[in-house]
Amino acid sequence: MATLEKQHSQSGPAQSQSKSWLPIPEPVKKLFDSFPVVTYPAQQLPAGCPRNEKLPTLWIFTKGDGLDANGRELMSFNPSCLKWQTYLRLSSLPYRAVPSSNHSSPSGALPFLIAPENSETIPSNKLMQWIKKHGNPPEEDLEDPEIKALLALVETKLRDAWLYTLYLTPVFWSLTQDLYTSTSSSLARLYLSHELQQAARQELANTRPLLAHSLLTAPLSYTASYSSSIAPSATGATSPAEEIYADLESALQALETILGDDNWFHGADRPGYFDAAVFGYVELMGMEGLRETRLGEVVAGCRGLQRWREGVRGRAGW
Amino acid sequence: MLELHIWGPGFGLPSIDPQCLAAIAYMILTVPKEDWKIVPSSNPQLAPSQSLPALRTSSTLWSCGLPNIISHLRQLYPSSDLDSFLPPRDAALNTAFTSYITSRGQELLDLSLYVSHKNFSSVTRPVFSSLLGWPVCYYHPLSARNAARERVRHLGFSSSIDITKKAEDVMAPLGETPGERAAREAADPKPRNNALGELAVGIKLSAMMNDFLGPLEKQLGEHRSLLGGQTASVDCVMLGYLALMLVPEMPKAWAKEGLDRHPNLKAWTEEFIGRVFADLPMGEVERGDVAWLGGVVYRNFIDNLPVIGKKEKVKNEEDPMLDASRKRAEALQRKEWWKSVLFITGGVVGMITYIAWSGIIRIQTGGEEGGEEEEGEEGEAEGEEVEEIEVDDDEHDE
Repeated sequence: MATLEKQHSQSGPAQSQSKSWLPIPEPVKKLFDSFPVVTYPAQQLPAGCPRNEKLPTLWIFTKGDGLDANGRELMSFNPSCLKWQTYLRLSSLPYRAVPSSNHSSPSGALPFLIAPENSETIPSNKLMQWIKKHGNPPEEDLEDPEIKALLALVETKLRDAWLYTLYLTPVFWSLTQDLYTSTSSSLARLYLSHELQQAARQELANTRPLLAHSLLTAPLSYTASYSSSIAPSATGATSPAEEIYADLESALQALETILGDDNWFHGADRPGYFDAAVFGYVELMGMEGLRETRLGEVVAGCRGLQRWREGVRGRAGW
Repeated sequence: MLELHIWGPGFGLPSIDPQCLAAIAYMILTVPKEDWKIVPSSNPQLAPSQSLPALRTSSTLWSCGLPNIISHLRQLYPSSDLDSFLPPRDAALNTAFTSYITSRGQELLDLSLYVSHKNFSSVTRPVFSSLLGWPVCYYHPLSARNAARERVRHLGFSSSIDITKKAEDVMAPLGETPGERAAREAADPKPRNNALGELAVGIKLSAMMNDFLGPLEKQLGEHRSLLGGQTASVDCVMLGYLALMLVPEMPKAWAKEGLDRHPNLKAWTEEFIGRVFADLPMGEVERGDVAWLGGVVYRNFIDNLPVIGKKEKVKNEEDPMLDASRKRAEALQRKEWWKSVLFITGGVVGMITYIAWSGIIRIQTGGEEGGEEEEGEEGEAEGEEVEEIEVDDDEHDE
């Protein structure tokens, strides 16, 4: 209050000077005087702000500070973030992972990378170019039709099953909620959870016109029945869970066939971008908390992919 | 007798939907002609999953959606199934290319047939109107368009991709806040940017077409099928999407132009269309929706009655006509109303609290203590009244 009064008295003469060309009515002047202009000293930069980084920083979804008890980097729980984490490791590019959220990203999506030399921000769609320039990624023809088609398979079928299990089954309450909503206020938490589930539902309904109706109108208790496999009804309609998991199985089957007995996809001599993209999903689908779900069971049944997953883990140093 | 229920016909093709076209092509190649017929009902409400294509095997048995239809036909006609005899690697690629074509092709068709206002209003909408009965023809095309917009939102094409659009296209969504309106208006290209904006959009669209078709062209090469061997289900799917890019005569013909740049794909599509869509076992158009339409009219009428309307609301869950977007808009409107009430109440309370706390009124009045209090109260009361009038105004606006 003391400073306010001081400012108050200082602003008096300034206003009387301006009276010479524009008279200010007394009540307005009084009102304005109760809101004196205060200039605060400049704030320090936030503690988490990047400065003088020697390593590129990769901003990802991760738990806590992104390190485990031994100070080793944790895997992100987001398939897309894990893909880039793994790809940077496979390209022998050292980096530092920074826990972050969508709100901090210029493009609105994680991950993104901040280059050490000029603090340039590289969104995920430009990351490939950047890694090619700075790292030592394996040779791969990503324009190959087969690889493009298989990547589309990963980004649709595997992603749908992932979204469905994490957001629209009870796993959401036991796992996803804790991962993606970091607030202690239970009301805000409830609201955020609702938003997340709604977004996932909309996302699935967009790509699956057949299920749009049941996905958008069904109450949660309906979509929650994930463990009981619902047989196609006599009327010919399938439940969302049934269709999504059937697609997942056929997609994983296709990936197993393509992998064959090779160590890495497409017979490469070291794992590359395609391996990282598949690894992002396959690794996370077997994570703690998902093993008991249908998703975890399906992915655990793919022997070839599990063998390959162990290989990628070893190569990436996880 | 099998009945394949589809959307269509239109655009000079037997169906206006890529999945329906694929289903037709698949059945032509696998099922003897005398065993099935096409029912161009254009009425998804007939099928239990409320979507087309749907295959009716008996009066009560349906399989909905292309994958289910294919697996059902595999049981009925195991010897002519297209995918059973593929080598394992080709079977895997069959799955992969199917999802590639379905996901990427759908986005491009959405943009070409629905999101582009010129194409939609001069071609797609009239086709829909000719297919649908009253009153579905009025709002189904729009809800189809909104669904398409929703699907391509992530590409940055949320509004219209035509720059020269008419005013009625910029219909404000229900329950829009001023902030959202400002954002929408800012996102819409202004008329003065026409030439530049249209050029940029054109470049982006043709790049997307090349990005989609390039790998397919490379994969197809000179073969007769995408996987190089015999025709598989992925060829039928590809036919559905490419035919809808090639055949419809659109004012904004970037999809067709994109296909023109890929001669192998274009020749393959033309040849395949000639082979499978030439002689179709077309059945009677099923309009079995008179009762259903009557129900809709009745339901709408009941909904608008103030007293009974509320009781009937529960039943609306099953009402096929009250589509999701309308429900959402209503919920949004209610939410907006409560929000504005909350804000205004909060504002009024805050203002009064501030006035009372800061003592502004006391400074102005001065004088005797008794009079001061009275005047202060009057001032407050007046303030409240004014604010309440504002509340009323706001409600009228909405």
